[in-house]
Amino acid sequence: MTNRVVLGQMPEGGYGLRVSKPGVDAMSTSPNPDNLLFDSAWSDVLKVHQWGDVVMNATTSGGNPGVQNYIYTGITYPALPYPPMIFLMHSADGGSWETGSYYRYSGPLVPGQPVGPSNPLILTSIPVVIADGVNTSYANIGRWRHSIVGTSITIRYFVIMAG
Amino acid sequence: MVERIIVGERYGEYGLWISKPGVSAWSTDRTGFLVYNNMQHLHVHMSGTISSSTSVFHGLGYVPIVQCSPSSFSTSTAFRLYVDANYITTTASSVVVSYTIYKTPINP
Repeated sequence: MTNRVVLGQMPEGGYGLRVSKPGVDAMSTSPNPDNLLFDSAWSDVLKVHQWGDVVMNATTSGGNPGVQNYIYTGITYPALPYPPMIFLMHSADGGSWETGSYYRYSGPLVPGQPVGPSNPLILTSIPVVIADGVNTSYANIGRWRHSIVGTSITIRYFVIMAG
Repeated sequence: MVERIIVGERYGEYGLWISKPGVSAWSTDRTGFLVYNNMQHLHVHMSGTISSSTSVFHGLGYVPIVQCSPSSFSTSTAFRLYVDANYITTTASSVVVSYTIYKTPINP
C-alpha cells in the first residue's frame, strides 16, 4: 500500500504534514504538486471566511440592462488584511441554485469612463461583486434586472480567505 | 522554529490547525493558517467545460459551491448554469462555460 500521509519529518528534510492523492507516494522526495491534496509547505489554501444571503428585488421591469435597472447592496465581514475574493451563487424566484447567468452587453455604457455602478461592466454577471480593490471588510453586491433572471433573487455570498 | 501543526487541544478546543510557514499554530489570527479547525476549506471536486445545453454529473449528493466563466461568448447572448445535488446544467447552446465544482456544500 502506498504511503499517502506524512506527519513529522519530511523526506527532503524539515517537518510538516503532506497528503498525496490515491496511488501517489507521499514519501517521495520531490512529489509533483499536482499529485498532492495538501502540503503544509503551501503558502495558502482557500477558506470560507464568511458566508450569507442577500435578497434583492428588482426595482424596474424587464428590458436590456441599463443604469436604471442596476441595484446593489453592501455586505460586511470581519476585516481581512486584503480585499478578498467573493464567490456568488443565487436562486431566482425561489428556484434552483445557479451560478453564472451572464448576459453580455455591448457596453460599457460610457466608453472610456471607469466601470462602476453608474457605468456598468462590459460583460455583466448577475449578480456581481463590485470590487473596489480597497475595502477589506465591506463589499457591494449588485444585480441587473434582466429577463433571464427572476424578479427576486437570493444571492449567497462566500467571502474567501486567501492571501 | 515555530510550532506549525496542532492535532488535539488548542485553547480548550479539539481539532487540527496548521499555520502558514513562519507563523505559530498558537496564533489567534485566523489569516495566518492553512488549515483552521471548523473552517470550510475549498477543495476542488472536478473541473472542465460544459456547453450545448448539457449536464455534467458531479455525484456529490448535495448542492456544492460552483464557479464558472464563459468563453465563445457573443453580444446579446445569455446563459445560466444550474446546480443541484448531482448535476450542473447549462441552458445556453452557443456558449462554452468553464466550471470548477468544489467539495464544499453551498451551506458551509
